[in-house]
Amino acid sequence: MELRTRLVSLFALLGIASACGEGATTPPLPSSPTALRIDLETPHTDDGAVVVTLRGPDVSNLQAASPAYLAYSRVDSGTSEVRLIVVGDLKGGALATVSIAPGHQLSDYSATIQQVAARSDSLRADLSGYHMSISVP
Amino acid sequence: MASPRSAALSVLLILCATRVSAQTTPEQEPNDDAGTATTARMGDTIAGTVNPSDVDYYAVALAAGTQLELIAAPAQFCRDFAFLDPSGNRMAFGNCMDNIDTLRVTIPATGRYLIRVTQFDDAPRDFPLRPYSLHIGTNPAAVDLDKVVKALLGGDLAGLDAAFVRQLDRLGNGNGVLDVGDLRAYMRAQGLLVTGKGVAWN
Repeated sequence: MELRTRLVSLFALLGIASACGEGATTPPLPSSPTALRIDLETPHTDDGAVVVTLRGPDVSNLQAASPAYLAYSRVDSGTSEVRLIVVGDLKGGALATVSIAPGHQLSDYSATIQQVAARSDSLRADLSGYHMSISVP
Repeated sequence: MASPRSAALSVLLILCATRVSAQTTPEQEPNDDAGTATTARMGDTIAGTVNPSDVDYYAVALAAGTQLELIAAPAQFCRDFAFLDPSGNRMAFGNCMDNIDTLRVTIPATGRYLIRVTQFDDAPRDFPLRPYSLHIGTNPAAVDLDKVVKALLGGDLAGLDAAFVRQLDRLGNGNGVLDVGDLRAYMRAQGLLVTGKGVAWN
């Protein structure tokens, strides 16, 4: 019984030691993403439509993140720019998803907000507090 | 010279022909693949029955630029429907799980397009045939919507009539420029803003 306890302790120590070794602290190689999620951060609760510009290479297959949203897009491959309109009773969070070709990194992409309309159709003059973010879903 | 009576008869015949051009098109089994698809036309309502072991195809000839609107009638089962290009590639999908009952697609090239209906609701051993129907139509307002969207996406108002732009702005926020608020107002006015209902737009 005592031998078994010692063996268990030994294996536990070996396990901890190996976990503390170089192999455990090396992060896995980042794989190339094939899809991106575009999120909207908003200071308002009554957004009704947005125009967003997404910059980055080889973007395709843009889809609204919610079936309650309508999304329209235009890809300008010459400038690696995608113009995106999303209409709906928008909430902060996921706005749309896109596919990207392999070989690119998240840092290759950026999104900026161009226009926001309230659900009353008025155009917001002040876009402070709005922020777009891109992540790998 | 035609008599008033024959002229009236001609008008009646034209009206009858017009009525006949939009009709209910029942499925013609077998229509389980693209080659045997039941032929339908723009303006038709297609109707059939489907169970989990069945798939129904319909073929419809569409011209480039058509603003297709495919609207499914409410169903008491999980009915999926897809719109496919002439090569069989899926262009839009009405997923019952997302409660999508309308597909809107701008037809890129003239050709024979396909509508595919399936259902996944019932257990594999239970194969009751469930009825469905879908309307193949177009919304004239969607043509203008397409132009407005393109103008906003491209920043080019050249394709839009100046009077129409002013009308859109008055309908929207009246700030003197065409913007996404005016787009939203136009969509609502034309019944195209159906958020929460589930619309897929290609």
